[in-house]
Amino acid sequence: MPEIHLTKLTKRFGLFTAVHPSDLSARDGEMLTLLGPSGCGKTTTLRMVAGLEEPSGGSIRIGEKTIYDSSRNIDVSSENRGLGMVFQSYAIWPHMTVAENVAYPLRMRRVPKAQIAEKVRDVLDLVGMSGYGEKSATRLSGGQQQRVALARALVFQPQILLLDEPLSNLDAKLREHMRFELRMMQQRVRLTALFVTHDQDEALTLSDRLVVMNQGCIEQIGTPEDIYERPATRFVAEFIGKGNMIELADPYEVVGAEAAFDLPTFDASVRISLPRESVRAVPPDVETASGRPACLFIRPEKIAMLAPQMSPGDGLVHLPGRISGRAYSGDHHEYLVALNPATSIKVKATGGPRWDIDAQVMLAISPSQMVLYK
Amino acid sequence: MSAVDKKSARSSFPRFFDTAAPPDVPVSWINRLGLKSSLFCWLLAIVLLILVVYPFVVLLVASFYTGQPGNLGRFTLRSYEAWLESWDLLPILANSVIFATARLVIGLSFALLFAWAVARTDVPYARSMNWLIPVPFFVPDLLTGISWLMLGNPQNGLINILAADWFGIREPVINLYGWGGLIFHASLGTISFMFLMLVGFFKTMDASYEEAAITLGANKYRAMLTITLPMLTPAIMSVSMLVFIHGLESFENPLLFGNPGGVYLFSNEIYRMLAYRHPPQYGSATALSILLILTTFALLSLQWRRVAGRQFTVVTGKGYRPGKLKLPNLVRWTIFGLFVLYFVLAIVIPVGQIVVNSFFPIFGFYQWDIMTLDNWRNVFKDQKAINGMRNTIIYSAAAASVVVVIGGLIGYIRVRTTHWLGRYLELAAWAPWTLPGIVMGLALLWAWALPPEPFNLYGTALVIIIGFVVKGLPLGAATMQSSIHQISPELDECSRVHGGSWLKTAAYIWGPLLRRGAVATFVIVFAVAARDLTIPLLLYQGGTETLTVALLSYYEQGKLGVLAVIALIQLGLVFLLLLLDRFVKGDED
Repeated sequence: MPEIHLTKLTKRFGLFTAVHPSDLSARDGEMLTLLGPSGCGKTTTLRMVAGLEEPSGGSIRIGEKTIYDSSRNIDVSSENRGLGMVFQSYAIWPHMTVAENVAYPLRMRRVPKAQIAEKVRDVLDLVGMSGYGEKSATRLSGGQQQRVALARALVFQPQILLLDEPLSNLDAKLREHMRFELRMMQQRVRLTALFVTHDQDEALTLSDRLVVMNQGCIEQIGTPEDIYERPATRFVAEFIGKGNMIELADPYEVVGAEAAFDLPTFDASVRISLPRESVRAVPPDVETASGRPACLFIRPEKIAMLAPQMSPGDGLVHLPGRISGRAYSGDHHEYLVALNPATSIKVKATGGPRWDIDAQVMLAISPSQMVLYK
Repeated sequence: MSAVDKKSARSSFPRFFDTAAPPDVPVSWINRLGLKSSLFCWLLAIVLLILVVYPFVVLLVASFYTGQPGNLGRFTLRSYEAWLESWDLLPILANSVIFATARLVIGLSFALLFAWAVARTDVPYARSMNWLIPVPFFVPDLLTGISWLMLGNPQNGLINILAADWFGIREPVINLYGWGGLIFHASLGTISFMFLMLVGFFKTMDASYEEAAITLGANKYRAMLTITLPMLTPAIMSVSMLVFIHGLESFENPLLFGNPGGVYLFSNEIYRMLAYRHPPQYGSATALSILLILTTFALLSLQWRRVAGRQFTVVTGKGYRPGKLKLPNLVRWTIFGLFVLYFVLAIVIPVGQIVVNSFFPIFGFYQWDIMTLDNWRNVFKDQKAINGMRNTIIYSAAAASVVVVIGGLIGYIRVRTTHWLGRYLELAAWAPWTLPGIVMGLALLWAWALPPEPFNLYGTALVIIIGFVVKGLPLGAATMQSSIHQISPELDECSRVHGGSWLKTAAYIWGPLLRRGAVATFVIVFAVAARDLTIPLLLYQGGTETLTVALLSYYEQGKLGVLAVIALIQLGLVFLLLLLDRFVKGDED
């Protein structure tokens, strides 16, 4: 199974740059997910790999074979790239039966009829659609269409699978189910897959590695844990999961190996010191960046909420606050805690006592869970 | 390997991928030759240039010459001078504008009323209204016009004769010659056409805008007047402009009703100079045609300036059906009564009259004992009628097929590629819409009588087919394009990625998916061509006459019995095709 390498791949529409020159590689057998808000260039990138959109520059290599290179004037046409693709709308051809849909890539490859029948049967078995071959494609449910689309993309044993938001048209329950099926199938076959989605849950559960994109640029590449636990940029932190982003009024100071700053509360300011690694600045030079105000980022589930008189553990930052809002979400409560008249933070509490509005609380946070962004 | 083993192997996923992979997609000859769709763009551009642009260049040039088709003669400005020096142009322009305006106002009022009632209210029999009101649009003007003239001409119109026989009224009670008949009859067709164009907007308009107004305290009528109508204004405006331009172009009505009443508009004036003057005044007619084109363009640019910047954001086409407005019984039944009256005037009386007439040897003497099938038998012995039937079917079908192909290609280029030629191709296909049939006929006459053999098509069947293609192109290309719009791009992209070259994608994906749209386009263009009079009238020669030409010549000769049969055959042809369209649509729904 080959790798995919994108080098300096660019796409411009007139004056607008949809994808800035980006380097990206999917490793052999890896599920690489392109994640980002709509308009971030993820779908354009995928379509350039598929040959449906002509890049404005750069090159695309699959294994040893270059399928696009602007400087060498190479542009292998879409049908000769040997890719399997599942489209957002599934693109099941309504004028064909399920079997005819699935057989199409084999017909295009001039596979003998008898062999086509066998392979179609096999692949329909694999996706759990055996016996549906003669059904009209228009009579399928969303989940079934999705399986057929997958079967069609796999039937010719492609080296690369491209997935363009394949789950976004399913209802929530089915989406979750198909997510796992898709993942299991990809892992069993060890296919190299490029997956595009705007749904972060999907991206986190499905991927080996994630590429977070924003406005045509790559913000961060990493494993789901990297992305969630150690977001490299402020955009990634805000885009992935829930988070508190607290604008600090004053710049932080660098003291030895630590960056220190004041967080005002109702009583008095609390001095917080973080290790220097917790400062994510662009440029990544902590000293020069220190002059400007920063943002403090904390995930709501990393905050413990205690009664004000309780003594917090060692090494934890503790912030006094007042409950100003509460929402019940089934498996947890979400509280809004005011730290000072201008700042409130969200806290996710899965157990513990139920706090009332206006109750005084003590928040305890490990400094390792705090990140400063410039 | 035993059967059991094989079965278990099949259900094991990795094993599937361990079997030998199929070969790569062979590089197709299209790719090897480097043929791209842009090549087809250019080919298409050349075809449209020859079909659409060339005739009008020739027409423009010819307007500065003294000659006649086939022989340009010498350069002159005399034709224009004659028009601009004398006051002759003014009444023609005034008549044309009055006619187009009157037709538009009457047509729009009734069409809006009917469309609103059918789409948004509980008017009785709304579904029947919905499919009966468009019917007159498909019945040729020539047929209903002639029929009404049989009934309402001042000399021997059936109504006047009956009035004289029964009530002893010697003066004609009804006179359809001139303005009255012209506007009356033209409006009947206009109502139908405008309803057809507008009812969709009323049906698909998002009702939540209206409902928002109602929750904020407007009553239902006020919501209609203050929300619905203003929001539909852009749509109504562009449909109105279309109809107004068509009013300037209309030929059958001015010819039938205007000529005997001495009312001359652009179209019948142009025809008068060619057909009723000896020798034919080609110079004047051509110059007048150019002046008409200029008038139309001036109107269109006005329209573009008005509509520019306004968007049709209303028609979102959400699946949600709003509750129907409950009208008081009096209003409901008044609207229904108007519809019945309309349908009786537009269809029942004229078509019924023609049907009855086809069974009697002499027009107007309808008595049981002289009823006969002679007219029906004679038609099949009449060379002109047989030629007409054969020619109409062949020419219309040929033109419709060509339009389906050209329209499909333009639609493809426009919808799926970003080739810069696309918008010009679309414009070229749409341009004939603004050109009156009689002008189109004259332009084609000049254009194809001019080149040397073997390109001189004057008097051939081909030139009429070309004329029908040009005439059918605007509607045909638009219909094709809208059905292409309905095909999700992912359906063909999916084919490309999975190994289909664009030619194979066209064959296996586009072809079958476009079948319905292609049939609909074919039917529309066929109907447009089969009912067209202007193009064959100027371009036919002995042997290439169509049904419409035969119809007119029998009318002028007063052979009304045979005429009735031909008219009914033509009508039958159109409705047969509509049925075909329904059938093709029906079997996939």
